[in-house]
Parts: sequence; structure tokens; C-alpha cells
Amino acid sequence: MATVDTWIGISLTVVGVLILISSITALSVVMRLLGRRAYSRRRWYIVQVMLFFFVVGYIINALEMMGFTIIPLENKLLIVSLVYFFGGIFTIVTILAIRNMLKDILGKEMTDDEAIGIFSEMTGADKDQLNIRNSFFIRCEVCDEDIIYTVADVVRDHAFTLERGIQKDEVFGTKSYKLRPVHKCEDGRREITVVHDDSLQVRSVEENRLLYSGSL
Amino acid sequence: MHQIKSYATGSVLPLGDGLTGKSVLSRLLINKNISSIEHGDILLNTKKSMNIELEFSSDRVTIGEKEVTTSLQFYIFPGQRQKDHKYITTFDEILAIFDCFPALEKVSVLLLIYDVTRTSTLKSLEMWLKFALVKGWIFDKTLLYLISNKIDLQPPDDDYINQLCQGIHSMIDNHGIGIEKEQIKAIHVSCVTLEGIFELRKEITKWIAENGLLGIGVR
Repeated sequence: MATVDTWIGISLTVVGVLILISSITALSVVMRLLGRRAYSRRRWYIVQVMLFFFVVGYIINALEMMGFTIIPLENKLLIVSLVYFFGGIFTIVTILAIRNMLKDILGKEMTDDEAIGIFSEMTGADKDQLNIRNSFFIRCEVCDEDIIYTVADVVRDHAFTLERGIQKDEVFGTKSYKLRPVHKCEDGRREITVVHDDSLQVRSVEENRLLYSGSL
Repeated sequence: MHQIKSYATGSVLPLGDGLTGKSVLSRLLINKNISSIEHGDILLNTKKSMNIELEFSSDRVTIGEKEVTTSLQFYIFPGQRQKDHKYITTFDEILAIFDCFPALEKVSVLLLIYDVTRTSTLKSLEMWLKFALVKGWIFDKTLLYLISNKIDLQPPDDDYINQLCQGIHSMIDNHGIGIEKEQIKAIHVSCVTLEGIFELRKEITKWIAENGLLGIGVR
């Protein structure tokens, strides 16, 4: 006959399973968004697989509490150790995934010279090109504030996925650069696509899109 | 008493990606005195082209002392090159059927149209121009217009456009077609505000009256 403690244990485990299933669903939505915006998802896949194994473990635990024998008695302590171990793995993988995502969003610290070197290597532009160290001014149509940025800022903002932040185009032999400076807007972090001409002067301002809503 | 009459006919070919405004622009160009009701109707009821569209317009212009009856024949192809749906016909499919049109052998006016709000459509013009060159549509009497459409949404950069015109000329020149720099023009238009539309029509008509397929007849 099951005791009250056993029923509480079973109920908590079932609630836990439901929470994990909703986490898997929520994570799938997040991963679809990440995929669409070309963010890395490798670690989030591991987190999702581990969540799935946790669900299986929880169900086995609930069944055991109901009186079914699935795991032999001598292995039960080993299972507890495995749960501790994979719990640790789960935590570190999740933290690393979050750290990488934050790096993707917040960019990387580097000096102007380093950043300009990277820009030059990527686009073939001369490191000493006119305007390469200039500050550019644009206005955000959402918050109506002036955004000041440099080529180096854009490199830092998109250090981990440079091709998303900097694009070189050539139409009928005329070069253009598309730079996407990121700024903190009233509804979150926004990225504005700015087209620069071959001498890096601002030619036009294009799409303004929300990268990450809320405060970060 | 018989009266000698001069005629000029020329084909006008708008090229550019899908949704850049080729059909709307062409419909506006064929209407010389467009009313606000017709204008609204064109803007609201022009659907995405799924087939070749043929439009025709006629006008009388005075060249020197002659009055020339000028016919503009518009051949509007669909801009999409990807087959997104089985019912959507692509540019290549339509071209495979209508490539035999004699009017396409030597195009009088080539309109390279892009949407100023989508720079990808400008980049595609390089492909469209290459296509026109390979198909032999451009010859030494072709007038080329680089059309910046939808300028009511965003103004284009004139310096950039001038550079592009030079690039277009070099590209055609490298292909061995002796075309003058003056034959490559740029114009900014808006089908909503009608900015640039009448000027474009006037220029196209004048060009065809002077350089189109000329003929005389007796009335």
C-alpha cells in the first residue's frame, strides 16, 4: 500500500516531467529562432537531448514509486550517481550555451587596430583607407536617437559571425559595404543595416530589426 | 491629295526582379493622360505577373519638321526566376516560349528596374543585364534606363547611380557593343507620386521616334 509520501513523490515527479516537456517545447521554438538568425545551436541540441533523457529518468522513477520494478535493486545507487553526473553535465552545457549566445549578441572586446585588421582581411579594404577610422552617425527610426558607430564597433558587435554584420557587395563594378551596427534601443537590441560606399561614406540606411527584445 | 506619314515602332523591355514594379510602371507609361481613378486602379489592381504581358501605346511626336506616329510595344516578363510553386511560371519558362518574338531581337529601350528599398534587386540587375547581353537584345541603338523605383519610400544616392551607369557602359562596351555613354541614363521614379513617369515616357517616345523601326506611309 502506497504511503502519502510516495504519492507526493509520484505527483512531484509527474509535475517535473510536465515541466521538462514544456521546456523541450520552449527550447525548440528558441532553436528555430536561433537557426533563422544564424546563431550557433550545437550546445542547445545537447541540452535538448539531455532534457529528453531526464524525462525518461523521471518516468522510470515514477513507475518505480508506483511499485513497478524496472531497475534492479543493486543498480539503484549507481542510477543516483548517474543522475548527479548528468545533472552536472547538463548545467555546464547550458551555461556554455548561454555564454556563447551572449557572445553572439554582445560581441567581443578588441582594439580598434585589431578590428580594422579583421575588416580589412574580410573585405579586402585598405587598412589605411580614408574614413576607415571615422565615426558615422545615423538615426534610429524606432527610438529617434542618434547612433554613433565606427567600422571597429561593427566588427566587435559581430565578432563571432562577421559575415552577418559586414557584407561587401559589388554591382556593375561599384563597391559597397553593408555594415550592421547594433545599439540598445527602447525595445531591446536593434541592428540597423547601413550601406556605405567604396570610400566608406554612408550611402543609405536600410532595415532596422530587433535582435533581442527586453533588457540584457 | 495624299499625305505622307512617318511611323516609328520600338520594343520596350522592362527587366528586373519580381515585385520591383515593372508591370505597374509599364501601365503608367502607356497612359499619357492618366486620371486619378485610373492611377488608383493600376496601383491597387495590378497583380504579380505570371505570364508575359504585352502593352501598347501610341503617340505623335515632332522630330525636326516631321510628325512621327510612334508606337511603344512593351514586353513585360515575370521577374521571378525560382519556381516557388507549380502554378507559378518563371521568367525562363516564359522566355522559352516567346523568345522567337522578332521584336526581342533588337530592343529599342531596355528598362533596368530596381526597388530602392531592396538593394538585392539592384544587385540582380547585373544578372539581368548579362542576360540581355547574352540573348543579343542590346544593340547600338538601344537606350538603357537604370530606373530607381519606389523613391517615395527612400531617396537614392545620385553619385552611386552615376557610378552604376558608368559600370553598365563598361559592361556593354566589354561585350563589344558600340553604345554611347549618353545612351545609358538613369531616372528616379515613383509609381505612387508619379514622379519621373511622364519624363520617362517622353524620353522613351522621343528615342523610338528617332531610332526605332522607321517607316513611311500614305494616308
